[in-house]
Formats: sequence, structure tokens, C-alpha cells
Amino acid sequence: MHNRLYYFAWCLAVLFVLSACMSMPKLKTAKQQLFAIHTLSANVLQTAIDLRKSGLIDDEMKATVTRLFNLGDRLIDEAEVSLHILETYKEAKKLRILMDHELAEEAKHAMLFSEKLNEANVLLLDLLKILQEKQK
Amino acid sequence: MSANAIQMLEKIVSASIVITSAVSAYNKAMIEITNTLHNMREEGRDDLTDEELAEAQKRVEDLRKEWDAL
Repeated sequence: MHNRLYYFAWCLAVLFVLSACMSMPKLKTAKQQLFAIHTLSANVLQTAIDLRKSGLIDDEMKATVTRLFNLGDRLIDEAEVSLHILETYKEAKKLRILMDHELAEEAKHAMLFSEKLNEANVLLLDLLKILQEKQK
Repeated sequence: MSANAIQMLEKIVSASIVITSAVSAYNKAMIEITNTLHNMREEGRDDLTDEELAEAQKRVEDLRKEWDAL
């Protein structure tokens, strides 16, 4: 019962830190999010070290906390991969917008060029008519 | 008060210390993150440097080694 209460407190603490880590709105890039995750991890580790030194964490509890840290490490690895994918996606999206913009510019130039060609054709047709009339 | 009740109370206090320590760790981390982002903006940068990120990662690795050694 006592140990269960202690485990429950640890799980609650870890869940609290993890949920806090997931809901930080100020962080805009993958680098910033990863920095926040590492800073949180460092502070949690420092707290665990202090608690261990003060005798609040016995060997059995340390094994449980270490398992939680290992799980946290895996979660961080997963988060790192996900964030890189997200960043790459964002970059790709930005690039696509740029490309769309550039293509739009190209299309505008092509249309302008086509209009000029049409104007030139009209002029050439007029010239042809004048020449045909002169031949008559 | 019986010995069992005292032991139970002791565990409840210990569990409370764990929870308040987690909240404190979160607060400290928030202050660090906010300060770093503030400095970044003050310096006119859009993002953190690779060195800053590597430093944060190394800090975790060092603390993890310390934890494993305890």
C-alpha cells in the first residue's frame, strides 16, 4: 500500500512534467521544442538526484525511476524524430509556396509574352494585307 | 498515534515531497526556457543555435550518468 502510494506519486510527477512539456505554446521550431524537452529532463533528473541523495529514494524506488527515465528517453527519441519530420514538412511546404509563387510569376511573364506575340501577329497580318494590296 | 499510522503519514509526506519537487523542477525548467528564448529574441535571432541545443542535450547525458552512478 505504502509503496503503491509512492509509485503513484512518481507516476503523477512524471506525467505532470510530460504533459507540461507537450503543451508549451511559446515554442515555434523543432530546435526550441527539443531544447525545452532537454531542459525539462535535466531539471527532473537533478530533482531525482537530490531526492536520492537526501534518502527519499531507496534502491527499489531507484530501479523504478530508472525504468521511467528509460521510457522518457525513448519518448524523447520519438519526439525528436517526429519534430524533425514536422520541420522538414514545414520547410517543404514553405518551399512549395515559394515555388508556387515563382511559377505564378513565370506564368505571368508567359502570358505577357503571349500577349505581345499576339500584338505582333496582328501587326504582321496588317503588314501582309498592305503588301497584298500593293501587289494588286 | 500507532506506529502504522506514523509510517503511513511518513509515506504520504514523502509522496508529497516528490510531487512538489516535480512542480519545482517544472518551474525551474520554465524559467530557464523562457530566459533562453528571451535572450535569443534580444539578440535578434529567430531560432536557437545548434550549440545551445547540444549543450542542453549534454547536460541531460551528464546528469543521467550521475543518476546511474548513485
